[in-house]
Amino acid sequence: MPILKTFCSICNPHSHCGINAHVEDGQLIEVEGMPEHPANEGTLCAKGAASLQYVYAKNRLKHPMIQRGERGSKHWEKISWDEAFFVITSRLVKIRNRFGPESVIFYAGYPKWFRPFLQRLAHGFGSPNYCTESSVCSSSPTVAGKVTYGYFGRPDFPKTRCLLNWSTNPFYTNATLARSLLDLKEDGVKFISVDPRLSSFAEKADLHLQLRPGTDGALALGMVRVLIDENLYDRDFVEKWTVGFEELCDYLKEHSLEWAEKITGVPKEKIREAARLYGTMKPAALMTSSSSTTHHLNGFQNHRAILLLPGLTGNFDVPGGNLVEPITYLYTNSGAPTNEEEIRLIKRLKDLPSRIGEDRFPIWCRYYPEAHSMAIPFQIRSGKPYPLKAFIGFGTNYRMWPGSDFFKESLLDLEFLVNTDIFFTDTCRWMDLVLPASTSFERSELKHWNAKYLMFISPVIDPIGESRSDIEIIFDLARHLGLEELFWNGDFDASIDELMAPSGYTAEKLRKCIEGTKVKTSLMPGYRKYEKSGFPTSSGKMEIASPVLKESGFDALPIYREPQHPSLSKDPLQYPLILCTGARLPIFVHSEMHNVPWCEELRKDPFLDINPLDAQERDIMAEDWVWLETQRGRIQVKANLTETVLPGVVHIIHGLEGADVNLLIEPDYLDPISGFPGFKSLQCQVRRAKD
Amino acid sequence: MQKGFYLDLTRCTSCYACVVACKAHHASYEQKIYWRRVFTLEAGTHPNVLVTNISLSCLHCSTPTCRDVCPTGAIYKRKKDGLVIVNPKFCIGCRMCFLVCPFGIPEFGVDGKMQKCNFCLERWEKGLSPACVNVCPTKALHAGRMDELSLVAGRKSVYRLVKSTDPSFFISKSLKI
Repeated sequence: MPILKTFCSICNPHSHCGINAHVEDGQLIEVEGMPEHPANEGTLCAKGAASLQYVYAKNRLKHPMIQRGERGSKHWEKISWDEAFFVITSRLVKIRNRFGPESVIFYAGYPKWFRPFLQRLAHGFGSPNYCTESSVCSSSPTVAGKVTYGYFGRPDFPKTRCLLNWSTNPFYTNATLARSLLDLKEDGVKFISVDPRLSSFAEKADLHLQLRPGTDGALALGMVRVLIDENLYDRDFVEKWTVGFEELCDYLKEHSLEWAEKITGVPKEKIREAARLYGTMKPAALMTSSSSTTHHLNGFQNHRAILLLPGLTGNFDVPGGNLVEPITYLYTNSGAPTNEEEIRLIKRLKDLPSRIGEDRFPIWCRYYPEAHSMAIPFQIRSGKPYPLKAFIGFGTNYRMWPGSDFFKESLLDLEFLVNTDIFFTDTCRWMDLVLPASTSFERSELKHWNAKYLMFISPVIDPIGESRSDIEIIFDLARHLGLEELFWNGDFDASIDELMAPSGYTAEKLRKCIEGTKVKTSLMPGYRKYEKSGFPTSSGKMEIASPVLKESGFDALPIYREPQHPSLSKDPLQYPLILCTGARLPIFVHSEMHNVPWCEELRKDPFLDINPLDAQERDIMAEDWVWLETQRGRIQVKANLTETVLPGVVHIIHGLEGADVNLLIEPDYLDPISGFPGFKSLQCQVRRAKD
Repeated sequence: MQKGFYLDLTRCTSCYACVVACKAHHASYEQKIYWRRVFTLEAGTHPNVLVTNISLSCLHCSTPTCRDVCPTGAIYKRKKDGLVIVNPKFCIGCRMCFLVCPFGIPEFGVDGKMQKCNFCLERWEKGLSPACVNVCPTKALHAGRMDELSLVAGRKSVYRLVKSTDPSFFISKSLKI
């Protein structure tokens, strides 16, 4: 039986695992990890291990289909690809002629591999409104780094002596890191975990700070206070390379360790211990989540407060600290430079009409070259500053938006809705037209790994039904819109040649390395780059107090504020519990794999994690059905009694069709700076459902 | 020589990769039938909570009570490697094995016959480790001869002490679960 090489691209771009695909008569028979791949070394996570059922899932979209009845009805009709492209292009051109190209939204959810090309298509079409799910994930931390340092760095794991993990569980979200992290632990590296749950990572850490969700900023400021009080900060760095340190000290004079304890619920002794450990075990690295700390109404500033730690302790851009490395392609750094930005941004954003969200979230939009997805429903409804008319989505899930019903209804106000997806999802039901996409097993795809590795895969099986690769779909759409010249006249390999030109790789060369290739002459950016050229901020320094934020009317310092929102109840007894959503399970990535039985059967019911104390008060027993209520609504879920969550805090995963927790969140429950929803800190009540 | 598994509790994260890989490798499409399960055990109350992650399949016991009570001899222990195997041809689905197994391992699908971990025999014979061991993203799960596994486990328990200041000192410690 031939073993063919490919990779799994179910989860986020920081993982992705090399795959040995056993194929017989064109059928995928078995899927295993590729032993020679440096990222996964033959291992897989639960999701990758379920690839067979993912590829052959019952709800695979097999043909382009058009809705002939009302939206949401079942009057779907198969159509040919040519017909589908004809319908899409004629509708889009009509809309562009009447309302301008900016009235068309191009959106990318999961997976992420085709994103540069979709942005190119949007710009080629004339629309600035390319937006992604990054409007609720990774972009706020990225912008927080840019506002504070001008850039930020990834933890330099191999050389660190202390790892401060701020609210992420790499064992479930980046399984490729799991082995090396546990090896570090065995080598004596100290692990500090900040997590409102006793996660499988926190459980292995030397120190676990179990904070009240959303109070990350107060905890970080408490640690900073200890570093300053005990002279554990890097005086040289602070004097030469920061602005706003005095202001920060003034703020902290009035915000003691006791204050931090009161806000966060973490005993002050533990905060002190964490600060001492992180401040003295040098080099120390900070690992942050791409979303959890920023899913709070003060999330952007909370994250900025956390980001102060590497700078103040002299751990920024040093070996074993947080290393600034250029991104080479799609959020990762393989060391092989590319033309990604040139391929993405063929027009300067300032030459295009304003992006969705530019009025509402100017800071975010200034630092992030996309439109803001969270602002979409509001602009659809208001028609201001200009009307929106069509939505061309790839891997869209409307349940991602807070107030998911509000978002769906807003979408339904548009004239034309298209979604491309691997599966016929809940979101597809509401579209006018759906296009079938293929999985990584059925397509050509280029991938860069942080492990300094590249793979350019060819399909290992034929596409299921008439499905096609997202990039082929984008290239064809471009051709029908008369943009073929922008898209290398339909030659995908030529686009890879242009993309990889700076590092001298060609599609042909890469394709020959069937099991992938180690980047030989990888970029070595060096350490303490700021010493040569200063920080890429307006002052050339690390901006503890940010003039950019101040100009826009926000706090210059990353201070902690409790959420302020009209939907928050003033009566603490009405909604006494904190609802924290979105913590990952190892078997799902957001709503992905809900349709894969091997994963889905492990978590059939919508479980709400609740501390036994809270359950007891409410007469709730294990696995009882309960109502989870907020001011906006309620959903029925099952109680999972666990001591791993704090008393007073309940947790649930997001994206469940039968128990969509985003129905309980106001659509404008957003951080005013980043536009990120406050998924991690909502008021709620839990009641036993009557039998 | 007896073969079996070794689970390093310090590395298991309850990620379920072994559970899914087991079902995928054995092409098991029946829901809720598992040859390998993951348990996340909690002890204590907040703020003093201990969590233990355990991945568990048939333990291929040296003195398997399931075999002893099997009325048809469908369950047997292989001489050469001590693996406990069930021959479905002879199983009558009486569930005696389930009653006596201290670990609740025997599973019964729609055919009513007992099924459980077979150590991925066909992989083992090709020189490959069982699917669950092969997939494990943290390398917490190991399979092999028990004497060799005990050396791996033994080396591990003195590893950290050696790493710190390289003392000329060994200690042994009982592993509390």
